[in-house]
Amino acid sequence: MGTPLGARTLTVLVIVAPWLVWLPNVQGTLAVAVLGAIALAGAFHGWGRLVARLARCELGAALAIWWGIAAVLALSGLGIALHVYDPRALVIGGAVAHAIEVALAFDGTARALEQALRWERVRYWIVPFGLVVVLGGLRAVGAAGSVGARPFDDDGHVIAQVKRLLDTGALADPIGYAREAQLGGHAVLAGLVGAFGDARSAHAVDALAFVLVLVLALAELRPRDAASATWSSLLVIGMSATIIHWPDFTPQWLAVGLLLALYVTTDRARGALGVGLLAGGACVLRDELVPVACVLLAYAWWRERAPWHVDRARVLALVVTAAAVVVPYVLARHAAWASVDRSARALVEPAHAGFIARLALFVVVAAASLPLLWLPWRELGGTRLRWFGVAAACGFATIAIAPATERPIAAHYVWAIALAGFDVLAIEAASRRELVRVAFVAAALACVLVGESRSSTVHQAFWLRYYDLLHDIAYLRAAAPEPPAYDVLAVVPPGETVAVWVSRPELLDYARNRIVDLRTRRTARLRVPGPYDRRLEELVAATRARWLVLETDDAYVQRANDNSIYELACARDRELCADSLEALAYRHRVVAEHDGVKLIALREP
Amino acid sequence: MSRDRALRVSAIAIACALGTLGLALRDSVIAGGCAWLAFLCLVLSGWGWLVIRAARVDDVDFGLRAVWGAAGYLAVAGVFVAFGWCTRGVVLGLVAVGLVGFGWREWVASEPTLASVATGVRALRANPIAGYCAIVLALAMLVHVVGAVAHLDRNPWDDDVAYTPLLKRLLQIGDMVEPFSFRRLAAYGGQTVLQALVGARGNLASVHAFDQGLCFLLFVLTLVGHARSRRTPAFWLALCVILLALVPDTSINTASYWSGAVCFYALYRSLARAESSRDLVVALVVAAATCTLRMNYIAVVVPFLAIVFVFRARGAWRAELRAWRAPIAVAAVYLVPWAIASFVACHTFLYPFMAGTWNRALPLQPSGWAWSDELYFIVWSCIESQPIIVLPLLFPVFALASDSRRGRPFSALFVAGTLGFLALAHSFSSADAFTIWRYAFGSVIVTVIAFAIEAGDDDGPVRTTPLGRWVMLAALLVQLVLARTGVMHRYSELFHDLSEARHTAPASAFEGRRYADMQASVPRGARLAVLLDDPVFLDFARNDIFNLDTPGFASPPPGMPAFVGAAPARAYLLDLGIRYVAFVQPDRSRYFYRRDFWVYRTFNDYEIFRIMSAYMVDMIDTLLELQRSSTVLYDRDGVIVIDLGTDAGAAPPALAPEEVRRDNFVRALAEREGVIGEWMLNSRKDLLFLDGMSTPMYLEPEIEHRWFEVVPTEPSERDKKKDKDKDPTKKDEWPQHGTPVRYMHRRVHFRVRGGSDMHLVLRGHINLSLIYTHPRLDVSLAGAPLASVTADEHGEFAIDVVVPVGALGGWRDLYIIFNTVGQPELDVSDLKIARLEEVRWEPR
Repeated sequence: MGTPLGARTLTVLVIVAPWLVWLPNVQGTLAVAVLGAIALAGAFHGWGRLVARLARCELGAALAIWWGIAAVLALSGLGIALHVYDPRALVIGGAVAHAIEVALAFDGTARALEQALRWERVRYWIVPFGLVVVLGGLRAVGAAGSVGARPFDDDGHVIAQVKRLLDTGALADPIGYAREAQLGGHAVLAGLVGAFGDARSAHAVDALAFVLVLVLALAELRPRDAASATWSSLLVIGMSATIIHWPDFTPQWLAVGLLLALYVTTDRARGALGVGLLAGGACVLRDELVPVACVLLAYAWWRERAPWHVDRARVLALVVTAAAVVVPYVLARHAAWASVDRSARALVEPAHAGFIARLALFVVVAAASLPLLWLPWRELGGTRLRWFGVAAACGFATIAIAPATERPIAAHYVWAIALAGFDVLAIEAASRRELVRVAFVAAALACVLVGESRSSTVHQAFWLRYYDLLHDIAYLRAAAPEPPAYDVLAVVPPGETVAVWVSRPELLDYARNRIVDLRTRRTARLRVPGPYDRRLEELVAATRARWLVLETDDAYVQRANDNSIYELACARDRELCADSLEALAYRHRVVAEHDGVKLIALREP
Repeated sequence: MSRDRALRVSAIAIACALGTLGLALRDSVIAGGCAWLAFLCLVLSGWGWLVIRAARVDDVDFGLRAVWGAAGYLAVAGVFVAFGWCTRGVVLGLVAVGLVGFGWREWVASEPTLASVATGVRALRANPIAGYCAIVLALAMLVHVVGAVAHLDRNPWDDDVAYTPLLKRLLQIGDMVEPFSFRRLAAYGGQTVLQALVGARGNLASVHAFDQGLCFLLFVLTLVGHARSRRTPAFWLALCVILLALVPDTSINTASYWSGAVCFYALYRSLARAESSRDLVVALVVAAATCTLRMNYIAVVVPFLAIVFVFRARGAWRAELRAWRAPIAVAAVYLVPWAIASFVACHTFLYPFMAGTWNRALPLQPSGWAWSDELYFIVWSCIESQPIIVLPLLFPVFALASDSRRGRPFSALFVAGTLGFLALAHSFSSADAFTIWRYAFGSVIVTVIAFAIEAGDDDGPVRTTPLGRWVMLAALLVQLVLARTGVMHRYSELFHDLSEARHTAPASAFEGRRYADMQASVPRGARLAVLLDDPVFLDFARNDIFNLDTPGFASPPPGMPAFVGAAPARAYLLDLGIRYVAFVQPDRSRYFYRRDFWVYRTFNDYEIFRIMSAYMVDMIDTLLELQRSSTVLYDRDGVIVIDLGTDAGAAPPALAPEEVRRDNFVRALAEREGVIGEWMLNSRKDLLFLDGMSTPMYLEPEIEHRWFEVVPTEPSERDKKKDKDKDPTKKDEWPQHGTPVRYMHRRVHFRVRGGSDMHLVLRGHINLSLIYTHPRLDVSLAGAPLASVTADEHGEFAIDVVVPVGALGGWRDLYIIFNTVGQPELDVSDLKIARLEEVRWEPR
């Protein structure tokens, strides 16, 4: 392949590959998943190149992809604010930009490929990149078929929100997706699968981000000799093997990638636009990443600080770009909340400790985290690394105050920051020649991680994860379309507001009715035994819903198991035995009932 | 007599004394066994000297010389095996030749062996700390070797039924002709012929003495020789030795493990030092010897040699080809007798490429195997490395190491090992990852150890980065830490073995007499087929004995009839000239031929063992049927000998293919044994149970009435092992009978096929109290929806659909998916959300 003809052929393939998913004969779910992942990567690259061209900044392909992800987040924010979010337009737009960029630099790309494919270079990158292709590729494709994966995050049913995005172009459900812990960045990125697939494959985007994180790390490590290739391989295997208990559907690798890309970009000349985009992107993804992004944003300013009149344009680029990403999301969330009565927010807003207590906790944890960074600081030095250390400490501190609120999910983001830190350390360490302590610690850590993930019996164990992924891939070969569901909604007039408590909200038609999803982690706590607690009824009223769709579940069985007196007293169906949600069916008319799903007219007693 | 001459004479005298002691103390397991093992070390070293003199190459260290000697011994013994002459007398004669070789070397060597030992002792005394460490490590090695001699337990699956009787046969009559044994198919027999060195003492009790004892010792000596030649720091050497002492024992029988490892090590070192064509001759002799140990070693040896050749031949391939011509010819000639012996025994010399006596109705790959299954198997095998747990991390370090030697032997070994491993995983996908690594043990352990030694030499030819060296060090340390749990248990067993081995086992004497009585009922010289727990007690010289081993897998053409009853079996055996059959009654078998055990496994195991069980039950039933229709010559203590007579009779022709007959047999067996429920939950000819569900299990009676509160999950093998480590007396508490079920996950995967409209019925229960909802079950076939059902208020569900033939054809994927189990406030992490109780897939 390391010939001019081979390189040019590959370059043509690079241009064409993102378009293959739309070929009419690409029908199988597996083929769509594989080619869709390539299309997304191509689209991200295209948007990233476009931004780089605007900023007149030289970028490698791997970093451009992450700039592209941040750009897509920015555009999507505008899209959801204006209710015009369209994943197809985003992906096709990016693919066009990608094709044009590669075509314009055709000779240069072909030459670079030709150089890269020479044996003296191939021998060093083939091992780490081969590992990325196998370990990352299986994860990216398999995630598209993981129908058993949990669809919830701490705000709500993410797959349903992706379906809502695809149907309506907006995230306008303040109850079903309150966005208390984030601004909706994950949902819009996950929604990109709507360009060629359905919402069920939304897990594939974060899994693709795993591959893109590794590619970015390898691009920075530049495996050009045995030492850098060993570091690269160690990183890939360590990241693949690490056991992370991450049950919810949250943006794990997207967060890692955005932080890593932000760290890398802070060192780039003319990178202000990219830094702003990436910092904004991290902020809209999760609240826990905000302090990390802010510290790195501050470092980007500090690194080339100059008198205001000289540095004005750069500072504005940093701040305005970041704000431009965040503000549309804030507006969209505000608009969503405005669509329901104020009382609703009080019912679902997470309780938390006072500001002073949280601030104190933040400071203590941030200070306590700093000694952890002693070894890399002492061995590696470097101002940028120190700033990253401070940013990570702030991130840990932000997460640490989560127990003071009702957001246990936040603790998982320690991993996102730690994994980004692990990448950063590997990148920094690989560029040094003599690193006895860091090299040994890194090697021992990687061995321990692999050893632990090998000997673990939990479901996240190394091979069990790939066992699941490969069965997910096998499923993609024979995946069936979703059967129709919730026929009872047919009697509801179009445009009316419907509150729903159903197990498969992703099968609803969000374009036909305004739907409010009640089945979230926060509203679930309002569903209590007995018909006398009116909080859930108040919440439904605050949404101005005229209809309620309630899917029968076995909350009764749960209550009966917990309480034998209840089991005896409530052997028959009666209002006294209903919980606060089921009681609504007794107080209002049940218009239709089919297959365990009741349609209740809330305005009719 | 000068001191030098006295030392030389003393060494020879010690060797003779050790041999005499081993033979004299024939019944002593430990004292006699250890003396004989030490004697064999010297004998193999003597053989190595003969090889050195024959090839006219430079002398090498003791370990490498002994492995060369083992290869030389196999070269000569192979000829005797091919002619069927390799009896105990011949083996003892070859031992004597080795002793002469040892004496010859001792007489002419520049430094007497005892002088070298004295020099070493002086060096250790000069550095007391190093000396102390060396003594401790040497003692650990010694304990390991003596423990192997004292370890008398045999694997009743492999050793009792096949490997040890084969060794006995070889020593008694000099051949290894066992056409009914699939274990004979899978090896040329080099391992058995090497084991004969130990067995020639006249005691077959120490079955592990050769592989776990002698070969382990030779491996350590080869390692020490390698480290000395590389001037490896003592720390690295000590670490490697500790690793060897503590590496988990993955062997399950007496087949080749450490013998393969030591041969691969010797091959690596021989190729690394090979400069001339003569050196290559020795290397290829070792390569050929390695190939005789296990068939799958060929898949590593051949690419190893090929890659070394390619690297050496760059720029001068004609000259290199000339240099390799003679060694290749020698290796080919070396293998010819082994191929002949294999062909005589199994009608093949290259299994599995030539099937030979292998039953062609049995595929090596599981039924309905798809590329995704293969990919899964390979990824699983690569990740679950054994016994080196952190091998995935070492992979890139090995791959990125550079070898500046002419043939790049280390890189070649690494690439060849990888290719051999992939080939093994591809061709034996009905196994599990542990088995694949077990077979690959030899090349894997050598790659790790050789790299550790080479990387320890800063100025050596194998270069790695400082990080690579740190990874290696960390990997070795982590390996030691992770292996710690099994070490105590292993060493406690070892010391238990040592105390037990001091007593001779009276049971063997009784059993020997019983078998002799039984065999006396058969006319001398007559052909006898046996299906016995301990064929090792048979007198192979008295009768022409055919060991039926594990029925169904191998048999001479036209193939043992299976699932057709007794008459065809009688006709087949008589046609082979086998008139007498000895077998153990299934209710009196000590282990391997218990019918109930196999009936249980027919419905409670993986495909390969379910198939094995069906053949076993059929064979047992066939023999019982033959017993009723034949003359019983002997019937005592559960051992029966029958005379099939001379009239074969007219056997009804089998109309259906064997696969169909087997399937029908298993169905009928399930009905007869009252286990139709278990049958319904197992794969069969047209229906495969794949992922998304547990293996068949039985409901636990004590928790059944509250099963919604506790989701019983089968403990993993690792958990079971942990429990056993903590408490070896702990019994398996999972019920072995009762109501059979399979626990379901959210997505359940079957694979089906059919030649007509098929009727699919699935019944089960949803665990309402775990998921608090009534999820719908969506059934789809090859991506097309088939049915969608909801469980009733008790959680019961039933799917009953007819699948038109048009939707079938070859294998098709059938999925059952619960439409939801997700709860916003509850993470159902263990998705055993339902149980499957009945699956029917029948022509409509």
